[in-house]
Amino acid sequence: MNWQKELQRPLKEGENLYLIRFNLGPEVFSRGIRIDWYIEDLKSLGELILDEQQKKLPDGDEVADDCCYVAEALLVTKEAEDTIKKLLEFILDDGVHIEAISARNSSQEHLEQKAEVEEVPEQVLNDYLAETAEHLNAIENNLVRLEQQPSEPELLNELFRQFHTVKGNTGLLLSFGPNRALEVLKRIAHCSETTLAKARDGKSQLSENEVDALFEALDALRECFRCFKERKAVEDTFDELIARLSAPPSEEESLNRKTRKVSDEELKAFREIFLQYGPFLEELANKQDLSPEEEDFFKRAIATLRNSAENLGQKRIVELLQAVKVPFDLKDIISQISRELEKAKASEEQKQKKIAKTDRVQIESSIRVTQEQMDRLMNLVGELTAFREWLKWFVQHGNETWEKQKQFREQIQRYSRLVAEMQRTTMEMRMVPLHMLFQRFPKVVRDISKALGKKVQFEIVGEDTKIDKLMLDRLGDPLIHLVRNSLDHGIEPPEERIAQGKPEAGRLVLRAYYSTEGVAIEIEDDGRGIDPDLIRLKAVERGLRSEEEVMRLSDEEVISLIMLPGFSTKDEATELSGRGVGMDVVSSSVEAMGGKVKISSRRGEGTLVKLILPLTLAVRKVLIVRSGELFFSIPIEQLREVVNRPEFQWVADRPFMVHRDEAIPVVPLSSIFGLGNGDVADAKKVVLLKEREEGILVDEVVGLTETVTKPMPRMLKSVEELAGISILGKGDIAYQLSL
Amino acid sequence: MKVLIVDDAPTVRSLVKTTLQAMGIAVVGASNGKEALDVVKREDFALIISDINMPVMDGLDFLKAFRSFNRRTPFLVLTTESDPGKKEIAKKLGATGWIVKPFKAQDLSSVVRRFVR
Repeated sequence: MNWQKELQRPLKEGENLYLIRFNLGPEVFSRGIRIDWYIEDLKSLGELILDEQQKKLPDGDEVADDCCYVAEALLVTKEAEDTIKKLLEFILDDGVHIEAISARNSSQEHLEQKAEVEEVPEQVLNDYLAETAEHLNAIENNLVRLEQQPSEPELLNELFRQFHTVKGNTGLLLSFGPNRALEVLKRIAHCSETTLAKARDGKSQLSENEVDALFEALDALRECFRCFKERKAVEDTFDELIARLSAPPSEEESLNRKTRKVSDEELKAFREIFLQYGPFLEELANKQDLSPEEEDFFKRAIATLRNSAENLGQKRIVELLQAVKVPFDLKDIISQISRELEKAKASEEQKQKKIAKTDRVQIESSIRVTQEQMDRLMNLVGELTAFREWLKWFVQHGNETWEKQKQFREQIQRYSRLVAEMQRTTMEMRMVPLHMLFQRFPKVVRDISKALGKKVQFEIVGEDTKIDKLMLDRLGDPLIHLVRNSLDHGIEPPEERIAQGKPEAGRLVLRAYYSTEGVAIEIEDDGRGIDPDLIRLKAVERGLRSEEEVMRLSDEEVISLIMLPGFSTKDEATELSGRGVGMDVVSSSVEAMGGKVKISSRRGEGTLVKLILPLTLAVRKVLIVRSGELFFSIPIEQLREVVNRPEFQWVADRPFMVHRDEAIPVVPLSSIFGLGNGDVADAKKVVLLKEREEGILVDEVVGLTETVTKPMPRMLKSVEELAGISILGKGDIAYQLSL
Repeated sequence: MKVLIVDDAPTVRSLVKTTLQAMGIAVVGASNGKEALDVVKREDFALIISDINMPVMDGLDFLKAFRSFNRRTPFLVLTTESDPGKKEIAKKLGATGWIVKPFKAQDLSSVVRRFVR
């Protein structure tokens, strides 16, 4: 929303302007949230200009999957941001973004020592990092231009806005909690903004020194930004810079500053003079009585030094030297002067470096794309892929002459190559390193293990592994759950570990790598492991499985029972691991991404939870099979083998397939969905899946293809065996099996 | 206009009752999740406020059960912990919002006013 246009009046005294973005999905509405009420509440705070871009509200109790509310609202109010936040508290983390466009800075800016921003929603944080990096680069470019034309109003305005946005965004992040690097960053941005505002409003022209200061401010902002990103403490408070930016230099000072622009040679010269005099002065300082010659030398030396310091604009040194009356005073001062000189030297070098850097003109070329645009692009690529399949089919089944067919086929091949290339590129764009997610974990592990009184050695492996951005966003909660589980239930308290002859500190590894099945993420601990018998007991107790069933299951199968909804083995759910909502939520959210969870554990030795995720959510390679009139797709990762013309045997009225000396039970695909019994004798092929013992009888194996899987329509949501639908080349629908 | 308050502590129940009745809202009380589940199956409410830690059936199980057949009635959980994890779990299970104990009557009424209209 263009707020300048929307709000066609200036703000009155005491009024603040906020931009509130809503991006709410069905998960919010199934919690009983009524967005209309929120909008009403906001209206009661002041003037609300609302631009609703998408509004599909729940119909009665029905919360459909496409329920959403996407809107931008401008709120003019006398209330503070906190009031708005309080009002939106229950949905603030679920896709509401408040931006103070013009809010009075009422809160005193204060610096909090060593505190960190915590629990910033990942999306917000990522957006902040990307956006700020971009602004800083833009600021650099504009500052370079500003040096040429320091009073160009357009440029001043743009710079002002850029500093302002950086400040505003930083403020937003700070609302999640104090952080020193960000506080400093915000302060510098604020002061730079003030400096620019004066020039923009025509009150004064930017002096050369001010432009210099802005350049320095940019460096300082970068430094703070880097510290924040790397979670390091900022060392400098940049007080001197801030003072220079906010307080306009006095006449005298600015004169002084003018002369401060010294060449490296001049500075070197002074250093040499100083070094020449230095030892003598030091000697004199240690003497009690001076001879007249020494006295004379002393006076001359000080005067010379002071003059050259003045010429070089080393104000601090001049001050120091002015205080020197007798040689004894020199004692402290000599070292101080040396330090000042070092400083001057360092800043000179930095300037040189900066010049060298700008010489190289490095343009970091990245642009920001919204998730939505990305998804749309991916969808289009999917459509193109589907179209390619259709073309192939069309050429094969059309009545064209062979010559024409050949021409067509050549063109299709070219087209295929282009689409494939486009698909690859699009997919790469979606991929982000897991580092973005994993970097949160050292702190999470530290905090949790501290709270639990456990000692843990935490290791992260393979954080460069890339994964679809969409999945990255959805993996945070499951991974935190798993890590919590390991720390709480897995790793024993130090005393227990020592008693068992294990090292005092437990080991927890978060590992990612590419496997043949996709991206694997593992959480491994060397804790007490899972006791299968205990799981058996609980499963029966909770009525999840009968006694006979659990006895028949292997230990490994038993362990996977903990992923059933409502399973929790610790008798009292501890505060940290929550209560039984853990593993089933993990496995269902991983499955929703087309992945799966595997758990292996050895009693007393530890547990390994492995999440296997598809490389991308968007395009999947699938095998298309036909059963009767319906087409089904099977993701290639789930496939083990396709058997042609199988031999059947009947054992107790059940069909078996003899394959490699093994009798494998088979079941017609159609009967899984109750679409009739499907005559076994007619079936031509059997598909063997990795996760299922029975072979699946199908009428035809159509072939491998790539499709974009879309979620199941609502009416079919309840069919557990189906995971989604995709459109085939000639327009048929294939249902994706999840058996 | 009726609100259901579920809490095993009678003090909390009566605090909520008196506050809301002063606002002209009728209040029904239940002392645990199981009792509450029976009540919500019989009667409609404009808002449900439930504690989390309760005997017999706790607030999260009640919330889960309630959301399995009603997704539109606002449901606020009372939490003592400032632990964001609890809030997150409650939110996942379908809680509309939360009130952190100890709360003042004023806090309660301002939140309730937003959900009972």
